[in-house]
Amino acid sequence: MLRFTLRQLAVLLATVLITGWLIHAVLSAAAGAHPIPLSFVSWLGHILFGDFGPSATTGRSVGGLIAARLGVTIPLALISMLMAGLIGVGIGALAALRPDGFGDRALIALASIVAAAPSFWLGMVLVLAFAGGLHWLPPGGFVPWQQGVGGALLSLLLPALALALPVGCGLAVIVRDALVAARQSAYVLAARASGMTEVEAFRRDGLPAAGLSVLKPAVPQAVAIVLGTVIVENVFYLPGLGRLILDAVTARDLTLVGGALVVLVLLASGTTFLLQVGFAWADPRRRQRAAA
Amino acid sequence: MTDTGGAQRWSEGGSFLLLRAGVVVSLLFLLLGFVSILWTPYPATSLDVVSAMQDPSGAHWLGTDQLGRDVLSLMMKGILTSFVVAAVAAAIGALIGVPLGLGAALLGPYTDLAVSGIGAYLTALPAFVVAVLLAILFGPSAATLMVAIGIANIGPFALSTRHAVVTTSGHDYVAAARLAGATGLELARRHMVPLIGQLIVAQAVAQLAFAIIAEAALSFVGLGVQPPAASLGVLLHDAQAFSLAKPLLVVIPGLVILLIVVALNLTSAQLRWTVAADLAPGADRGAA
Repeated sequence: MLRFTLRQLAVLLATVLITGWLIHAVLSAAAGAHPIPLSFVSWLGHILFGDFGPSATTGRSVGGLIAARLGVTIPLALISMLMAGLIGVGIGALAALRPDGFGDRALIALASIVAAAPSFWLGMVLVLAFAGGLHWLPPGGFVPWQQGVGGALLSLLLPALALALPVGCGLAVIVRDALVAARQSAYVLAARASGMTEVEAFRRDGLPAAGLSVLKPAVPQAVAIVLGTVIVENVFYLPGLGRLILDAVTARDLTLVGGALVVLVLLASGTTFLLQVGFAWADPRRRQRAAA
Repeated sequence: MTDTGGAQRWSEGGSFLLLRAGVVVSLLFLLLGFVSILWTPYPATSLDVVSAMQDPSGAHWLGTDQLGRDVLSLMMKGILTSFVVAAVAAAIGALIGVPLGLGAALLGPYTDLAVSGIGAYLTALPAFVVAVLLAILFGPSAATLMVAIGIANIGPFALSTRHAVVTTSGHDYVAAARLAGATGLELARRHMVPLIGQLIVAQAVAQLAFAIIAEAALSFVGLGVQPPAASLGVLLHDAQAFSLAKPLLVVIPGLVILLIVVALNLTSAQLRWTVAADLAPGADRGAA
């Protein structure tokens, strides 16, 4: 377990270092009027300690700008992951109730279609439906957290759903397959042979195995949500990290682009790292192997 | 992107109905794009402000946009642009990724380790980040977009090629062919290349679907194809300001993306599934 964690940590560090170097190299090459004054090592060193330097266009602290935007992007990603999990487990479990029945096929076909939809387009359609047609929810914009948690959460609801729908539906197919496979597995059959009812056997032996087998393919799905935020924010005019990066590109504010891109890469590979380690720890087989 | 695992279950009869459906729908859209080179109902760039924002009618089947351009004509041009961007991106990924994957599978453990590392890194490197960097260097364009998505395609091609070669060469039927006297090139040509090739084609189709979505997303935020050129992403970008007044401008390009991506995913999943079925005769679908 410790070795696994360290290896994942090495992967995380390597990813951030290589990408950080790439970003620094490109921005240095592009820097004409506003050269980045620092070498790569000290640049990354400063960034890792939260000192991103002043913005080239506004003069404000890049670190402060990014921190303010993360207050939108990170809650958005977390809410969306939660929704995607609920959608995935809900639809997947429903479909697995009667494998190859009509409900199973219809749900999985629907899920496969929704999983292919671009999340930002789903966002636009959700705006049309819930803000344009029904007037239930705000079409966009963000009520700052300081003005009330309720308003902020409400303005994150549709964007989070837009991100969660395709990912959750992709997850549903995986969940369904895992549940069906566990149900037909030899170990559940063995448990039944020992006298348990079908439900008991499935709950004791099938469900944990199915749950664990879903965790690994869920990692890239969670990363897709993190990266999807930068696009979906634009549909809902949310002041998140993605909007910050795109505005900085337009203004050619290179220090801001560099700092924000590094933070985005950290978010994505940090998500991978946390989930990989967390999911490995959730597997009792791997935990015990580490203890032995 | 997402594996449409649910689809493969219906082809067990072996009629390849879903494979055919996926191929036919993809080709129909491709054809629609190609036709736009020679002919569109209206010139796609002709502005006609008087007839702006019309609903679908006999004259304009899908209506007109805020500048009075015919939406059907724009869609046809847009589909072509999106397909070209996706195809070039897939080609970049395949040209670099497939040799890397072959090298990893055939050139020994150190190459394997290096390529697997590079492949995993490139798979994790977001196309968005590359697109931003290229846009800073050269200004956003269709070309920078192709390269950005192409780089994102290298990792999946390399890893899947490596996987295809390793699983195929380790399979019993290859061992059986070897026992029967097949060696070297003959063994590779007759017994391994067809299946590996099909798996690589399946991967290419999947990357095409990924690239269609990536083009739409990145052009939507201004990092790719630039107006007045039309692509599926640009059309959605243009539609956003008018979405509440004219929902069709949002719905149509998105539905086209959805149809293309579903068709491509279906094709890819079926291609992969037939190989898996070939490799595991008599095995149930759980093994696929």
